[in-house]
Amino acid sequence: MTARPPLAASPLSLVCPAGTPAALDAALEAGADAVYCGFADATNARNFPGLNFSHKEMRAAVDRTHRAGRGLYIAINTFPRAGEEETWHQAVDAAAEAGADAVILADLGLLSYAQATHPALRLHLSVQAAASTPEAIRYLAQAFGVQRVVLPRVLTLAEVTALTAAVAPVETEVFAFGGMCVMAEGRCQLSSYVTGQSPNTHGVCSPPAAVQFRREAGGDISARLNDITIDRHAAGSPAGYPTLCKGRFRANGTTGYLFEEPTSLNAADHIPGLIAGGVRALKIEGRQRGRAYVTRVVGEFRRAIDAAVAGGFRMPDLASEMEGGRATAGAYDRRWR
Amino acid sequence: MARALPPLPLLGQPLAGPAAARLCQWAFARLRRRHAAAFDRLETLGGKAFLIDPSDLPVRFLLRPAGDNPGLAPIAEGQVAPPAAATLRAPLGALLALLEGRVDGDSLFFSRQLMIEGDMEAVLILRNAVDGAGIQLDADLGGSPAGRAITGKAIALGRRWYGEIDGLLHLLARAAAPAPSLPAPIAEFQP
Repeated sequence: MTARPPLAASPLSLVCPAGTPAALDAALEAGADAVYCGFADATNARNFPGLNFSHKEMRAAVDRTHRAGRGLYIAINTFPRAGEEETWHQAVDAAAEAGADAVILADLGLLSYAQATHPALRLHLSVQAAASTPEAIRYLAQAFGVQRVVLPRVLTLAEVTALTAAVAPVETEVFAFGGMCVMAEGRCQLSSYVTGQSPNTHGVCSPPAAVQFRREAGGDISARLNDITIDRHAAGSPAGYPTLCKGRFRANGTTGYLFEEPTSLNAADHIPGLIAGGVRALKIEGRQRGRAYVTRVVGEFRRAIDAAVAGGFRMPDLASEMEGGRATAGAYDRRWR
Repeated sequence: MARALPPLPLLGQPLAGPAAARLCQWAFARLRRRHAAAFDRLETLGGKAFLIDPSDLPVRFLLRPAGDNPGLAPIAEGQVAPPAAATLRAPLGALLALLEGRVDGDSLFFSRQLMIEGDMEAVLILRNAVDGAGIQLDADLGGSPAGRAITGKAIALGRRWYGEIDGLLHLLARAAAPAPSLPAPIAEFQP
């Protein structure tokens, strides 16, 4: 494994996804400063079949990550279901026991539990908590000792910069690449409306057991979610994830994407601005993706950050990894309100 | 992609004969032995089977990774495939790349090079286990140094031939295709 300087050496830390031990190794090899993972249960927002880490695998992952001089964060970023808090408490306990460098939490009760039970454990606020004002972030820092907040994907670059200055010394982390949501982080009910399961409490959006692809007469491919057709594509046309938010519907006399188009966020253009704005970390989405994605995207962003730090800049070419084959800078340079 | 490519002699009709069946079963057993942790993750599938359909070959494969009767069996063109939980269809080069974790399954899906029908939960379990396994066919299937050399050459040949041809045809097809348009109306959304 290539030796890289420890986390503190980079002004903009590259935080990368790992859904499997192999993806974790790929992220470290490709130049991640820190990697985030989840346990194989409903305590994290990528609770997909065959994904994530057993407690034993997580302990080994922490060891490997620390030997490489990087950090490992554990996402426990779903909201405990009433009467089942113990599962989430055990996840926090297991993360502390494994030696994680931070846990990424969204629920206030879980933040309180972590602070009270493991006072030395570093707390990051998940994007699922949707904290986007100085008042909210300061309160969470004062009440629970939150040291970093992952900002929702609704803020412009100017808003991110202002917020970062306002909440210091709390660090800010922003998304740089990957899947987009409808920007109601932690509050989206679309998946549970159709399938009964949501990313907020079950850790899974559009659970695969509810997804069905079918070849229709004429060759079109239809995507169905719990027996409701949410999209139909000509065979060969680019596709997105089979989620309700990226489905196409007829409304007000027109047919199209009612919520959002299947497009990937790519904020690489804004790396110099994010460094100048004091943002501490850049996050790559995609714990559900394979290690080829991790290798490619992490490697490109590593080179882009290093080039930006050195005073130059290079825009990564990542079109093949993008949902729907298209990119957006999202809210960073939005002109709408 | 249509079945337009001439099959390599190694991978054509004879592959579905008894010798090919033994070869597939040997390869499956060897991968299972060398990647036990990945196959452990697949135990949750029980006896579910997958139909692996290389879109540029006149042969398909029935893969049953776990359960009482695990294995890999070739199915010749025209032969009726046994029931499977899901079907995965892509050019051979893409399937090999997926098996070795050299390409991301979602990226193949987004570009429609990989078509999936059936039990998505089972497919994700398979994909995630395989992606993390670190399979390298030439290293995994070569028994002796001589066998390794022969197997490696055959796999590299197939990978290069189908990968390059498929990549070229894919580019041409994309260049020639009209801009995608919205499909026929879908179900009315009833909030």
